[in-house]
Amino acid sequence: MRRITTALAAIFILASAAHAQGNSQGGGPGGGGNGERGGGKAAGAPKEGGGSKDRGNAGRKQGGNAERRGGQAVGAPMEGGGSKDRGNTGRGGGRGDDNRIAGNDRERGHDREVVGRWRDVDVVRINNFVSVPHRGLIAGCPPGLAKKNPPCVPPGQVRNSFLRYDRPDFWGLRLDGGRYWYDDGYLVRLGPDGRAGGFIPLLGGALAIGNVWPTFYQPVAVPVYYESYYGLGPYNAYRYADNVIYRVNPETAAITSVAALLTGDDFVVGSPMPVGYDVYNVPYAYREQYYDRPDALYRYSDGSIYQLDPETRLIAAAIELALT
Amino acid sequence: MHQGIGTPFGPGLTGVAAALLLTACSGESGAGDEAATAPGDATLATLVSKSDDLSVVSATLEDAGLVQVFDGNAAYTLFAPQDSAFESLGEAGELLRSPEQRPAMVAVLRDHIVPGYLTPDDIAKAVEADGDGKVAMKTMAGHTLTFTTDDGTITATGEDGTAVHFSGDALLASNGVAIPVDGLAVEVGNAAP
Repeated sequence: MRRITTALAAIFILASAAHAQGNSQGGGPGGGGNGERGGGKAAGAPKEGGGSKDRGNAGRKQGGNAERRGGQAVGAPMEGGGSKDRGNTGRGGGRGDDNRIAGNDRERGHDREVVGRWRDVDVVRINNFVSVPHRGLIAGCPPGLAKKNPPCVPPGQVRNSFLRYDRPDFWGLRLDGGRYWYDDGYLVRLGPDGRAGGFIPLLGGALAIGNVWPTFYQPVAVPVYYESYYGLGPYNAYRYADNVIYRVNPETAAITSVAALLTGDDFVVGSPMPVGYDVYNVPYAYREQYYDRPDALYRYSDGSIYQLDPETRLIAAAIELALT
Repeated sequence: MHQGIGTPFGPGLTGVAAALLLTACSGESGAGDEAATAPGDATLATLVSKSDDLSVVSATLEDAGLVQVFDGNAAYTLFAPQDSAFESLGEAGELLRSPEQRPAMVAVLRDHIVPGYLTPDDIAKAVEADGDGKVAMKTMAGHTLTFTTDDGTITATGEDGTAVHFSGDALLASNGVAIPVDGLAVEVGNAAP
């Protein structure tokens, strides 16, 4: 089954797993590969109607991707394979000629492209996040807690804490069971020895504006489409962790702003739409073109519009949006 | 100055939307529904910053570096707790607004943000079209907000059962929508003594 995914959360694991500190979460990083993809064929690939102009335009915008995916045996591509039935004809005017039916550029993991280096470490562009385990704790004790006396132990009494703070779910994190507590910008997990066993830096805390990007999160390059859509700039101008893309100073790696919040949902053409997209939510500029019809529904997430079958709610197509 | 949706039918609903709500049965949305509610050129960040009753949210976006998210290309809808929502939490609300609790505040706000451009009209129509009268949207915290309607008022309920109501005019921006709500759709707990 071919996949088009935005499960960016996974690259965090790749980054952290590459670091010597290890990762207390189960599952290896997978090396960027994706065992699930091998058996997939594009039998379920949707037909989008005629018109090949979309693909031509898209190729100019992101031609490098299209070439890189050539020859990857991950099922028949929805575009790039020369088929005529992938255009947007019939959708009306608007921006149809500029938008792009997403191809395989977000579905491969084994063609990891080294785009540069950051402090003697290769920065790899990740194209396939689907099978990579989500998130993980950085092993050890967060910097601030390590400096306390005694170091790395949970507070006896958390002053002014909120009850929900100590649950990973409060922070939108899917972590294993165990005891957690919030400490100075980190969510910390209690280890078996009664000390901090792992931690995650939090948006607005350790990952706040002005803070230097933690060295235990090695930078990765997100798919080219994300760089374009979210205006991220080159690989060294942003960082990613836990469904958030941050802008950083390329020289100092200091966080300058948050560039994008992502759902991290996995969108697979031919598979059901993830839960939580019951309401028409197409960005205003695209509503004239992508509106719910008896034969098609449209939903937006993480920079793309997805066409759904109204009856089955299966994803029929993924549409990358042209930049304005 | 902002683009607002009037509320003759209920909070956040226009008369046109009310008619749609009463008649919708297919759940189809899109072209033709928006003529009366076209957004202006201002971005979501700009509209929130200029709103009189969203100062807490606006300050959080500024302090946490989230302004660029809502000034950018991507569309988001923010169910923005009004200032009174934090005040009603008492000590917990005051603590939540403190600088040292910014990560928690950001986490709470992420649960009030969904992808894309949703108007109250869109939500009301979807609720009306749904057989169970409830629809859900994924938040940027990985949870879902469930929407229902009652006597023209739209309610958003978080996964922990905490419910808030649409309150005030929606702000229609070029890159999203801010819909004021009267509370926090997340249980933040009680401040320890």
